[in-house]
Amino acid sequence: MIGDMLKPEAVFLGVEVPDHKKKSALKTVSKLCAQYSGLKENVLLKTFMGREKVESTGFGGGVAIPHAKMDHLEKPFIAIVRFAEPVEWDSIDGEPVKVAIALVMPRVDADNTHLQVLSNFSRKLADDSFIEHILNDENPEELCSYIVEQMGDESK
Amino acid sequence: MKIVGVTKCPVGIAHTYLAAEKLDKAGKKLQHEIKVETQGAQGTENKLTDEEIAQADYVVIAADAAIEGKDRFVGKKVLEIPIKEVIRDAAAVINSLGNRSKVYEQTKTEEGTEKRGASGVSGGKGAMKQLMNGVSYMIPFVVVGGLFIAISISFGGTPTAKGMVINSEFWNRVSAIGSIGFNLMIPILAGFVAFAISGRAALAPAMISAMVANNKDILGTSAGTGFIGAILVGYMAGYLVKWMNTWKIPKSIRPVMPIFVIPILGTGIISAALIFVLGAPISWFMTALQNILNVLSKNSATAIPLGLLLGAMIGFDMGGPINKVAFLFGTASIVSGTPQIMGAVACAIPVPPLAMGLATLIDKKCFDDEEQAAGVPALLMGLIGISEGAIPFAASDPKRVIPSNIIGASIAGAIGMVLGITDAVPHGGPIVGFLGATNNLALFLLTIVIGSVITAVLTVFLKRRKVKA
Repeated sequence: MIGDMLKPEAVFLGVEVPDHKKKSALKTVSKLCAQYSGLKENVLLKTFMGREKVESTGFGGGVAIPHAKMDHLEKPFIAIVRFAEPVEWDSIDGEPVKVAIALVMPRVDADNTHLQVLSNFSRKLADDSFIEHILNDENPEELCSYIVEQMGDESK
Repeated sequence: MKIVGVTKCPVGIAHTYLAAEKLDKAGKKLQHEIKVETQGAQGTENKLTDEEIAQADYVVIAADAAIEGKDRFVGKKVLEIPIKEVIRDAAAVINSLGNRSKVYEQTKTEEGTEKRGASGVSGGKGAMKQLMNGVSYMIPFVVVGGLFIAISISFGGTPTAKGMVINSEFWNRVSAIGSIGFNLMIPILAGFVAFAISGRAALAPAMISAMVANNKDILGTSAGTGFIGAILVGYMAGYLVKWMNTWKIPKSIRPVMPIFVIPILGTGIISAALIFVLGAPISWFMTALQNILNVLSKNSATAIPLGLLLGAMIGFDMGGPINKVAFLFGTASIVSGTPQIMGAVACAIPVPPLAMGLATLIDKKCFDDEEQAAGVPALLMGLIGISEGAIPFAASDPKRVIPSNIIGASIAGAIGMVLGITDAVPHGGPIVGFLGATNNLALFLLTIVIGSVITAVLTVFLKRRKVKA
């Protein structure tokens, strides 16, 4: 399941953000996600921004998880966007963000399968060595297979 | 320490789970027992059980949105924080529980959490919630017991000097089944009050000790302690076990604590306390009451105080020791040729159940759903003279219901004395009148109606005041 939602093609490393600000970073993330999925860039951006207004998704340690619930989404996915330079994200620990893990989910998930994967994935984010890999792995294929392997342990 | 938690974020797809995991990890690292419920987009997972909540020392609510089922935590030490605080440093949150948590009390302004707020029976205090837990488990037993006995008496009973005697084998069995329901009501009430306080391990000490408290031979008194004793035992067992759970126990014997050590010690301690501490005063008090009744009955000038006292005793604990003294005094009066004393008792007996049934019809809003459902059975039990029908109401709101019962029943007892109503059968309620055991059916029924209406109106009045307050 996680293998369907997280593909090496959706892992972007060394991404440049012109002014190191959250808004332009999210714009960049939206653009990459739009190119990858065919979704509309401005809709994605608006939804990501809406979530950030509630509370910053930068949860500390240089990682943010912008997320969006979309109408009529057929293929939910996770995209990993690692920035060339840290981005000011207004994180809860005040640290700039080095990597954004974008979670794009359907608003309605009939049998909750995708949400289940995502909640397991979110739980893994509490694991420091898991985060280390996401911050440092240089090869998208290897990173993806590491995550799939780790998540495999979680599947019950 | 035992900790339970709930996490919830507005979107419910990431932070809810991240925070839950962080709490879980930090709790285990600090060697606490922890379980975290997640309320996310896919619904509630890892749901906390009543038992886990009962046993927990602290509750952490990490939420950026109103959580579901917050009323479960009434009376617990709760720390409510934004979810980011947990994500930032879950260990610090857990370490701060002792200093920062506050006992959660329900407030009426919190939407969706005031399940019982409007019923007037609960201000949402912990002790009240624990009592209500016991009462709600007990109600079906009272209903089954009361109705089986009521039906068997109505169809198979004949009034005799020994009481309502059932001669049919069939109805005898029905009545015996009903008696089992009544017998079980006592341990169920005590057991589930204790369960709400400290979970499963408290069940055995509470239920067994409640049976002890209701067994006159073990207790060494002339009557068991009835439902009031059961409530007392429930709290005693609950808090005793809660305290035992705080003992520092080597890990190796921890698994046998809830199934071996706590039940045996708990039952022993509470039963011993009942026998050695409670038994003697109850015996003494019952004898004292009997002496007062004897003195009052010697003089016809004290007929009204005698009626008032008899009625008050009948209304006080419905089938408990005080009630028993009055009832047995009435029974003895039949043999000794003063059946007007039994007459006064017979007028008072049906007042509590009839009044409670009546009160649920007067104002539904004063009662919760379970009590409303117990209303009609209470009416039927009242007609057959089974005062236990009022026990669910008295147990769930003793401060208002017991005084109302005492006032209505004592007035009925006094009027019965004044009107000189006699009853030749040691049983009460309208049924003995209909079966011809009283000397004046119309006055007998009138007396019962007056007492019942007074109690019903008083109960509704007191409960309404409470709802407004």
